[in-house]
Amino acid sequence: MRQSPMEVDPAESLKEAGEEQIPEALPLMASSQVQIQNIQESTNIWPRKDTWVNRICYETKVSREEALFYLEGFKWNLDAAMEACHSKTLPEQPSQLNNKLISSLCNAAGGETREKAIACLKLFNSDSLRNQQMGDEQMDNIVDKTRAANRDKSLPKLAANLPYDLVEEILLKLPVKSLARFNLTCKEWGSLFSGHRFIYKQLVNSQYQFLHSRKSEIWVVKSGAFQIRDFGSDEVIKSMVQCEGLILCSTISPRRIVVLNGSQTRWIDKENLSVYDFFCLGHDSKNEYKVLRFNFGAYDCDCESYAAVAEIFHMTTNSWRLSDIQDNWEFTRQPPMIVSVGGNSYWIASSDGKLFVQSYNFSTEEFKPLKLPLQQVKGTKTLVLSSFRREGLSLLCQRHQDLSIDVWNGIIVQDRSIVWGKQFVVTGHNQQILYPVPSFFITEKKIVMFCEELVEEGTAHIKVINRKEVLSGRKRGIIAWQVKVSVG
Amino acid sequence: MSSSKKSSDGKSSEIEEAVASLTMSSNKILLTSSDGESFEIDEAVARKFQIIANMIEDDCAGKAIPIDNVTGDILSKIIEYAKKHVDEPDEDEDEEAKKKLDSWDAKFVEKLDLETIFKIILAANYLNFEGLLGFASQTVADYIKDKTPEEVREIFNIENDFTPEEEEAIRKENAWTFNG
Repeated sequence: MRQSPMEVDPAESLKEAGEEQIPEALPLMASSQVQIQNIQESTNIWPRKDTWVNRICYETKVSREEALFYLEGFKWNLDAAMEACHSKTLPEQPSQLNNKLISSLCNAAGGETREKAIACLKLFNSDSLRNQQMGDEQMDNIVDKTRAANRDKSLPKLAANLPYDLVEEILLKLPVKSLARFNLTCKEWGSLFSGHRFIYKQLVNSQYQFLHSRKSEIWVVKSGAFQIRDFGSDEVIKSMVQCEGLILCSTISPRRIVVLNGSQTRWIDKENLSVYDFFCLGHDSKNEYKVLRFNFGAYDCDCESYAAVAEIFHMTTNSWRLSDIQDNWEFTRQPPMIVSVGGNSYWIASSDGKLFVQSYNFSTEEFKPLKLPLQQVKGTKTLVLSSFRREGLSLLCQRHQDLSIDVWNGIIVQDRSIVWGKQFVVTGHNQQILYPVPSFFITEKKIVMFCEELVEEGTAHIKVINRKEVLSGRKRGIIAWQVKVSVG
Repeated sequence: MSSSKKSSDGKSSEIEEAVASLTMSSNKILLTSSDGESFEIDEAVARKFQIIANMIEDDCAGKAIPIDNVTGDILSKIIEYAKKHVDEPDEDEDEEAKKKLDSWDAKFVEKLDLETIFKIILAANYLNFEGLLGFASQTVADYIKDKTPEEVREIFNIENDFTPEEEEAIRKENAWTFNG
């Protein structure tokens, strides 16, 4: 007869069955706590262990060991054990078979309590609770995972023994946002972060990659190495932007757009593309990639009106839709040099003769102007924007008057304004005007610039300081300068 | 170091050279930790430690090299990492191998608690093992990057030397770094 629901004293039950008592790992219920409901046969209040084990085995088709495990785990509450066995829900406590593992976990977790060790065990490997013949390797694996999870808890004073240069080595690998927050750690760190030496060391860690296109070719210059992608045929690349490994190209004849991801190519369908179109590539806060197409009037299309237009292409849904555009500004150069940072796009623009950074946020899908740090810079100048350590912007400004170069780094903050800080000034006798306007990146005490220069047919030059390499068989020339920096 | 041998006719003997390079690559070096544990490793693995590579170059490396500042448990982990990184794939050429190695690195570091990682940083610095020093430092950086200044002080055992007013001013200036 089924006695349901019932909670009994497991200790008593095991005594009657002639078994040893359950170990202390399981909290024992005092006899006074035992609740017996719906008992019709008082003669057999404490059924033999076998009866319930057999019943669970029969109803749920599990082994005797597993049935016993569930009964023990659910303090001999038959209904709870039966239900858990059906749904494979684990009991609150493991059986005594896992004592060895629990002890190992306690040690791994730095002398933790059994309860916490059990919680870790359930968190990392619930199957192990059921597994009686667990190998040492499995056990080690769980212990290792627990030790890793325990990192947060153990804050080793050993870190205090690290020499200062090794602490600095760790701090150099932090993102800008963390460094700014850790200004508050202590005065020594604050002065370290603002020192030129630290900034330069940080810059040398940054990655760089120059992209260039000519006719149907894409050139990638990465740490001095060339990779070439050629669309072949009559495709001519008009503009190119990159965002975290993806490259967006727009081509003329025929007019179309393509996104490259490594060796993969994805052409995006769009009718009535205009020669006046500009493109940005980015992603929103959910990491969904989008393409922005906009113009200030497509004068080469049969439109009823030539108003400015902006459209967003969602790469996940493969669909276009209209977006808002502000047309009270213009690009300062053609083709525009668009920089991608944190999934958003930035470029230098002007409005009523004033220069600023125009940005497009792919999460909010809106344009926003941002300030440039040019209050003191008078006269004609060349301005170039680049990304800085993938989190901020670098601005290079050459005054035409004395050809000196100022470099600022800007951190993009939460409300999407920029905090600019001047990094260094380059002065020197052998300065030349930066034309054509180069791409650039900053490294330790150097600005590395990259710019195309046509040379005689069949050769190309890469010039780094005084070293010249000639790559034969190419129909375009490339010059990269490295300029020594005097710290200002 | 064995230079390429010349055969009697003055030309370089490829077979002899191959044998020489094979012999060299299978050279074993014995490292002894500060607590007396010994590890026999290939010369190629030992060369990952610049301090030992220099000893080999200068012919100062005996059969057993004592590593005085590193205990056996830490040295074994460093050797495990070095063995895995002895033939590092070229980033541009073999992307698949690079991914596998990155995955192995992640599993390797997942097992370690912070204290062990700090010990590894000290040991990698002593052995001048640049690859591991950079990797372990990056691991700690990733661990602390979202922590509060208070938590970082505790980890690095740093005393707060700001006055409440100074702290408030810096906190205001860097308010944007504390949200999200």
